[in-house]
Amino acid sequence: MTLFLFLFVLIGAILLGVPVAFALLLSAIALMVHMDLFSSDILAQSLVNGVDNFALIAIPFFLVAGETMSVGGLSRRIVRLAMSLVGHRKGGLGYVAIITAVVLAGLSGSAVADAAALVAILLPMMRNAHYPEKYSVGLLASGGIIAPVIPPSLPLIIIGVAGNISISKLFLGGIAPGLMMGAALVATWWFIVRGEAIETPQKASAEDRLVALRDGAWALLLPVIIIGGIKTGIFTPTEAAVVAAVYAIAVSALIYRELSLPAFYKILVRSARATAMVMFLVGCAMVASWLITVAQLPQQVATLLEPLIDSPRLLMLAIMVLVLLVGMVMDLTPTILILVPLLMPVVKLAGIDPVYFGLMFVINTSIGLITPPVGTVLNVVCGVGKVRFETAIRGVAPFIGVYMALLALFILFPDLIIVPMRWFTG
Amino acid sequence: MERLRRFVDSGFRLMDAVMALSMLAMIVIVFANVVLRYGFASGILGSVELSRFLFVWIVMLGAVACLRNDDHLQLTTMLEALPAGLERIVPRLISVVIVLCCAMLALGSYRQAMANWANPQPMSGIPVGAVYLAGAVGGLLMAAVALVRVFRRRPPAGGASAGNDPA
Amino acid sequence: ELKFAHAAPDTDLQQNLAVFFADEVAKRTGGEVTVKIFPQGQLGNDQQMISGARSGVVDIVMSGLNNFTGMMPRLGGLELPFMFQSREHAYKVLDGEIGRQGLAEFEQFGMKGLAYPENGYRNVTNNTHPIKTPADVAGLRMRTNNSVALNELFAMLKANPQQLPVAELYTALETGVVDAQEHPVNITYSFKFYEVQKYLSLTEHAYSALALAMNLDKFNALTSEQQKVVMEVAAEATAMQRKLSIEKQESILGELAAAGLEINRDVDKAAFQEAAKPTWDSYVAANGDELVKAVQAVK
Ligand code: NA
Ligand code: NA
Repeated sequence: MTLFLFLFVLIGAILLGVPVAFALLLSAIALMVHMDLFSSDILAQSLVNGVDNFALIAIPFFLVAGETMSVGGLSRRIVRLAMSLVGHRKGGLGYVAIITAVVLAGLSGSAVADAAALVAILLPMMRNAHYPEKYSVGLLASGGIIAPVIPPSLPLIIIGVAGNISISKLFLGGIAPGLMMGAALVATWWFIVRGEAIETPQKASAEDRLVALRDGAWALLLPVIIIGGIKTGIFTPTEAAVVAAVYAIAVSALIYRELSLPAFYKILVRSARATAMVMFLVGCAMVASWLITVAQLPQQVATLLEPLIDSPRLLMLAIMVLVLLVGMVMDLTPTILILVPLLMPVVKLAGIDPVYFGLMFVINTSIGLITPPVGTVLNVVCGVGKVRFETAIRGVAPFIGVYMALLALFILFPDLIIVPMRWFTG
Repeated sequence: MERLRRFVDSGFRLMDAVMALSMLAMIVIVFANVVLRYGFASGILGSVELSRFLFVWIVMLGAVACLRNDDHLQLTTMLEALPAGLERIVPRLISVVIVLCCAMLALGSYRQAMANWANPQPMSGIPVGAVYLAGAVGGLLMAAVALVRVFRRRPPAGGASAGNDPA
Repeated sequence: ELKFAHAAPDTDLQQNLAVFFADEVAKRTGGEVTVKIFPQGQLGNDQQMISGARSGVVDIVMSGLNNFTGMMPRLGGLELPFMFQSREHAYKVLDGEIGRQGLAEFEQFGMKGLAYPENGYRNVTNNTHPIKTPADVAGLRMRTNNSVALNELFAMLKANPQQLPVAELYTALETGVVDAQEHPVNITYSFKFYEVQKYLSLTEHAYSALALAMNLDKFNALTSEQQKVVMEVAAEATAMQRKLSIEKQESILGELAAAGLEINRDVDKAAFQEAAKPTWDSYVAANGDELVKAVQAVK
């Protein structure tokens, strides 16, 4: 009943055209009234504290880095190089995007930050190359959610703590499914572009490629600096975002000399506004989560699972459906914090490997980041890429389908995750 | 009326400048901390608290600019297909919802700001109340923007009004 | 129904305390007062839970005493490095007149202070060498909490104190952004920092108390019988949790050792104490020496 009220108000308001952030607040207020808890303090505390989060500061930094790379000439040079290498293949930039997403996933622990970086850097290139916008956006959003699966990963750390699972094992176990997600994207993209009319330029000559490589050297150094800096412990993944921004500013202003002071000011303002759009939504989602928690909506559903203990696969399937449903309307961190402690006892009773469960949970909630009506990564992609919500939803649909299929495969054959995990952990 | 509009515009330009400077300060603080830690075995005490403080203010002021420019994420399919009778009412109804939400945000944040004004954060000394103040200011300004839309004769045709391009 | 919020995972002793509190309060009030527990920061971070307990959005909060000392700077004296000679000393102070005065301060901020459960002694882990003397701390990039005194202490000992969110600490230790951290051993255990650290040195450089507090209006709305039950149960729950804490510390140390962490008990505490004294000065300058003297006078 309470769940129904919440979903009715949320989905109804969004369909009517209420901005998603305010629709979340409205559904939270509806729960407040329903539970006789009406209080502006709840709203203000949850919203402001939801925004007040140092780990999410990577978002504005990656936005500045992306905008600067695009205005300051770095992106143009990377495109030129990428195009000279794979441009003659149909949809070549898409493959560049997938490779970039997997590399970024190995650098950063946050899907939101990765998706912001991917969209800010790659979407303009894909637009210039006249790729279908919706599928470009869908690909970049789906690429972004590989970040929490491949280590380092904030969600894997949180689930390790919440479910008392080894974080090292989760990290090592995440590599294989993360790469499989990347491979699934490659196949999906290949299938999508097959039917699209995309012009493909002539294959570049070796000489062109060399020129493009030399010209793009400074831009190409950026991922090297980021990877090297994180792996050698010079900075954290969050701080890597600021290093990327400073590097992009320095190269654009001092080496390429393509960044003027007024242009830089515009970058700062635009990034600030895009940050605000994304983070205000995060804050509003935290208000809704607070009330969902107090109303104990997930618990009501979780108790229904107990009869399935005798059949691990069926239990896993039921859990994954539950997580998927919760993940549609709730953000990743609160989903983990609320459901994992509740499900863990059932999972252990059923004899399911906790590391496997943890990975499945994070993969599933990561997919939730790109499903409407509440998908944080989807929101980021729209905000950063200036894309209509409807376009993003349509574009991301085929990728969600493929990810679900992958998830089903992991439920049917847990060894797909467990066997490679044993290779790494010994 | 014209003077009022110019006044409001320059207010929003000032807000943009504040956000840009805060952004720059955040970059400088976090980057300097990396350089100091790695290169000079040192650090900036309170760098985390200070950058979080700037972050919250950027978000709350930026949310106002987003509301004014219709940049907040929304589904417009239904709005665009509304029959003539409803096309005046529904956007105003939405603005009423926004006024309600933002008034609650402003009121709650104001109460928290007052309650926590004498509650300094340990490292930087920035009062916890100053963080909540961002919610009060942002909420109040957003409520004002939405309130104008409740009463304005013609709702904006799904787009930014003039002079909203950054800088 | 009262909402009881804390930030620890439900495997932590804080949850044991919360469960005991909820069960006993319900039992002894004949089910008239019930308590619902929200662990793991489900109702927000420490700041939000405390704001919530003040405004009545949350009814009962349990959080590190350090999270309250912004409002009540005088109580910061209880958090100073090497303030207590032993756990027994700490318990005597916290359960005695000094502790009662502290709990009374909560009422100005809309809360009823109930008790001081235990977070435990803070101990250093790192991955280069065991820490035996203050000189061993020099050169460590050490993640510390947001206590000014601890930051001063480690800076004075020529370490490089750094603030990082605790959620990012595991990765930071793994890649070497920082090479040391200091927490009570239950945190080192539950956040699995032992997987990426080599040495745990029992420096016991600061005793961390928790504070258990209730929204004042909600407390005052109870009958005096119920209020008595709440106070009694809070005291009993705290006593139980402290006892478990000591037992659990040893069993956790065993688990940590089994997981490959080298545990060093050979720490020159006297030398550390001497080195720490100057960090009391800035507290004394701001808040006077009344509390410090009173604590040291308790034997
Ligand atoms: Na990652
Ligand atoms: Na979703």
